[in-house]
Amino acid sequence: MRLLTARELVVATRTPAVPFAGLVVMGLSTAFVVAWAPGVPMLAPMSLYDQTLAVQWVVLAVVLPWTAVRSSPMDRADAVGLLTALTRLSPGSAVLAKILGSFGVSIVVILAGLPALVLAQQAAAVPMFGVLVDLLLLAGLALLVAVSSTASILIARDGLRAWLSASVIVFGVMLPIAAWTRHVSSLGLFSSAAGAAGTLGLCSMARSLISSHAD
Amino acid sequence: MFTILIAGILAAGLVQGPAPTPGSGTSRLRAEAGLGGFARAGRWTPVRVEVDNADHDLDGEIVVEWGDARVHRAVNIPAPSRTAIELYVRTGDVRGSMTVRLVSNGAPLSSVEIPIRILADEERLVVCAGAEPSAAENGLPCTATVTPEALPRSLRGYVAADDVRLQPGAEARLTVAQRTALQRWRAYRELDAEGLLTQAPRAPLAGAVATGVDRPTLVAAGTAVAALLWAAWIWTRSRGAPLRAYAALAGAVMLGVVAATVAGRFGPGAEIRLRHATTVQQVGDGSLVAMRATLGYPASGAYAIRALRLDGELMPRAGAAEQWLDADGAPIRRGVFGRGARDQIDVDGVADYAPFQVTVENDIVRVHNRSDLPLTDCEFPEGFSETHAGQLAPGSSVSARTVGAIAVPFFSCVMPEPPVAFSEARFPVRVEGTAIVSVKLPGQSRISAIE
Repeated sequence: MRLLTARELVVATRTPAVPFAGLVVMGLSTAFVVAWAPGVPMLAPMSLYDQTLAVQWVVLAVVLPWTAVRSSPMDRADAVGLLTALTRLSPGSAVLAKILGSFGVSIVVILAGLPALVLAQQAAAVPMFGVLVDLLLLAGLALLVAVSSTASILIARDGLRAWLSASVIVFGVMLPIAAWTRHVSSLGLFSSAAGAAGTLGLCSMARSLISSHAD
Repeated sequence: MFTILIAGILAAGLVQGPAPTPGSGTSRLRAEAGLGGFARAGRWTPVRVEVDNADHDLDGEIVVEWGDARVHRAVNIPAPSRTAIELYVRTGDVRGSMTVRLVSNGAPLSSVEIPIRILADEERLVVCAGAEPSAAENGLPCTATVTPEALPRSLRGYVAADDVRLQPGAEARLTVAQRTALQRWRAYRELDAEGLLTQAPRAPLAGAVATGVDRPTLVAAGTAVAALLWAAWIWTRSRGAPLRAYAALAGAVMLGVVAATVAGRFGPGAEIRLRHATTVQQVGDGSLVAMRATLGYPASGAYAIRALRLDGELMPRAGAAEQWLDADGAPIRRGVFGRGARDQIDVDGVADYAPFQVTVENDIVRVHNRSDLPLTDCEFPEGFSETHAGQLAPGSSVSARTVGAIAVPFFSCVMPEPPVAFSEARFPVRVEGTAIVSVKLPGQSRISAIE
């Protein structure tokens, strides 16, 4: 399983999707900090840091599904079936490895935006500990993206459909949560929960999914 | 008027002889407020505090609360000793009493409630300093009578008064600080009586506005973006070497985080920037200083910025009317601020700065620069033979002849720096802006030197 996860991460380096996405996240977040310091007045009393974090959530929600699909090997269900035969892994483990690889790629993109968050944290004079907590919560979004993009790649016919499908899933989960609670920590926790549930569901359905495509 | 006189005597009696509040057993607090127990809304009110410390050395603060205003004055009181401190508080939200507390390590040691009488604008305040209440003079009785020792040591302490009268023998009992304060107040009062206090040339407020992005933020943002671009370039050229690609990205993120954290703490832009518009009005041998300023902080952290060479206050323009003074009485702006935060402040008070000496001979007015600094863009008002006097070097003079009616009788110059200096323990304070100093020119009939 470790080999399959590493394969995902190695394949990601063969496209410029990860650094491109990192530059987009970093560039937009930094531009927001520079242009709007000490914060958008209409969003007061949110601090500049909270505003930047919100911007980063929106940008990542758009960028991560594209990055995950673009940088992953386009292994549809039949290809995963072949991989399980070659590596003697169970279908569930193979799918889990793909999810973990995609999760790692998403984490790299999230970390690329970290300097912008620290820039906002320094401008708003909020504790550094809060940045670490918010990074953990963003990992929830990464898990949700990893599951949705892996599921989409398994099912969709091409990359474009897989990206659109993954984006629809991510926004379909996030928008109701965002409408219900404006708090980023709630958004992160619910995304994590949705991602974990999706991982369990996809891994348990992997065998039937692969079998149906093999037929 | 008789009622006011009685009230004044009662108030003076109340504030001069309150029983000291028992504290924790080691310190005793006494306080008096107002000019003879009287105060006006929006004017500085003197508060005299005495602390008897019998047991151990005390590090703490004296806190004065009056309406929405709160003044914190740091104190270091050795034991055994008696320490007397004079401070000033002003608020529009005046109450009939103010609270004075002695606090150490966050715990109150003792506290006292002082009654104070608020005067309406139309009520006169005539303060008499002497052993006994004075008889009516010029038909106006004393509103309050105080001992000469109780008179304030700063011009600010007298601004609520319409008149201050010294009984025979009282002048000799005044300290140098009290005499200086009274002399300045008389010059201030003269301007006030002629309605000229608000007519002196003022520095344009636009000078106090800080615009643009602060340099440390630009340096940090530029470094982080450049590092990521470099990592992206490495990434695209590391096919077959995935570790190199991820290491480059990790390095770029670390560099960006370090730049975002340390920018402004040292290197370019590691300074507090103060942009100001300062109006300085010479009164007697001192000056009234009114500074509107914006502070820009270079890095995230706690700051304590001291205003030096000023007997006055330093207040944030928005938020609570809370001011802090250090153990020497210097106003402090303290708080936790982020990098690039813009903090609008008002600095008001009195400075020992009087650059001009004005002499009049017949219809010629001569202004001499007796300060150590060159003054520029000097101007006589309309009604003089010269209006643009140009630069006035230290020790030099400029003169002009009166040729017509003088509507606003002020001679003014631009100063190279304000009379107030600022300091902070970790960062230098860079001061930029406009400071205009002015002096009232005497009428044609007056031939004298104005100190």
